[in-house]
Amino acid sequence: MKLSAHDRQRLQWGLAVLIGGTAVLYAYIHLMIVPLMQVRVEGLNRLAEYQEQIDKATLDLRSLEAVKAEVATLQAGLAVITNRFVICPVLGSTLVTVQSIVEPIAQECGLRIESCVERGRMEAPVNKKDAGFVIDRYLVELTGSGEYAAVRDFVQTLEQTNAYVCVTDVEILGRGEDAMRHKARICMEWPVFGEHKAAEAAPARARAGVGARMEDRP
Amino acid sequence: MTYHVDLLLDDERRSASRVNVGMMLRLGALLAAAAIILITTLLFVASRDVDLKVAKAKATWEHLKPQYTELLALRVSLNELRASSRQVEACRCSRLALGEELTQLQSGVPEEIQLTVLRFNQFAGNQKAGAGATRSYEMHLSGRVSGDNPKGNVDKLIAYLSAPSYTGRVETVTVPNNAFRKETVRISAAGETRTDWFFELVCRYRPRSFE
Repeated sequence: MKLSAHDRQRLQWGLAVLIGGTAVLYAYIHLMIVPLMQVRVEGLNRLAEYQEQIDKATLDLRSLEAVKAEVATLQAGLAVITNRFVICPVLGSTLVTVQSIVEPIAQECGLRIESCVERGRMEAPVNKKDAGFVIDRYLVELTGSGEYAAVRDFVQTLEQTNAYVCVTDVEILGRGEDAMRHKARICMEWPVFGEHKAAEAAPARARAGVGARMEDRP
Repeated sequence: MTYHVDLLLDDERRSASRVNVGMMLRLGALLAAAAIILITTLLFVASRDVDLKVAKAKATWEHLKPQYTELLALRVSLNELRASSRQVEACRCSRLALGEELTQLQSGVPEEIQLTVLRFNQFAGNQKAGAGATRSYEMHLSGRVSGDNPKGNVDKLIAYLSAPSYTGRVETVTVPNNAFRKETVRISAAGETRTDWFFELVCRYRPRSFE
């Protein structure tokens, strides 16, 4: 089809307007609409994040008072236990502490102590990943002599005095020369603060309010 | 006969309709511009609305944050305290009160039995840290038995150790092979002898968990 000069000119104008309009529209979409939409999407994402945090925090904060109460109870309980039952060294010796506890009990029960020796330390076989301090078991072996009742009363009194001391071995051997007086060997595990992890344990113990007795000592 | 002379050139022809291509294009352009303005305005409004909501949520979060931080710190403390408490309680939970055992044993040993050795041992149980860590105990008894029915007296002691009062704690009570035997012992310098029955008994306690 052959177009006249006028039609050709109109067609050229039409094409120029179409191309120009598309270019302007494209630029407008890319420079105005898309950034606006991006800003909105980013805003929505941030809003969702905040909302999620707020929902989680609101839900968790319902337990705040309960957690506070549990922390206070545990702190108080642990402070009592560690101050009363976890033994601390006297003059740098844990054995001296043990002796100062067992000797009066033995005397009261009629058990004659012949020796009291340290048998090392063992860790408590529990998971202590998050623990603020480490509790070790301090092993002590005690030998002595006395009646069956004396040994029994000694062990019983010891276990009643400290619910956390564990008598692991008791050996009572009859002696031919004296039927009433037996030879006794008693092994015990005493709870003590672990020597390792001490650097981390100190602030945690301070936070927990435990072990004050040791620090308070002159 | 009529003659019609068409003097219009082809490019001079115009449509009589009011709706022509040019007008349609202009209208389309106007509508497109209006749509673009509307979309842009809506997007502006929506963005502003989101910004306001974000600002409000941020303010709420800033208000909650100190309490939430406190809660998180308390939870850390709680975990620490629980773990510490677990360690301390492990010492108490896992022990077998041997004082009680000595008392209970005394009241159950028949008069005809004289114990010569009594030994409570903690033997190597599973002491690896974890949920399965346990302590295990054994009681070894050796003694002399008199009376008309020595075997019966030892059986009485075994029955006592297997009785309900021990059921929760004791796992097995056994007399090792050849542990019930007769021996002749000298009782005076003059050479008098007496025949006694001797026995040994092993009482194994149930493992006690550290947790």
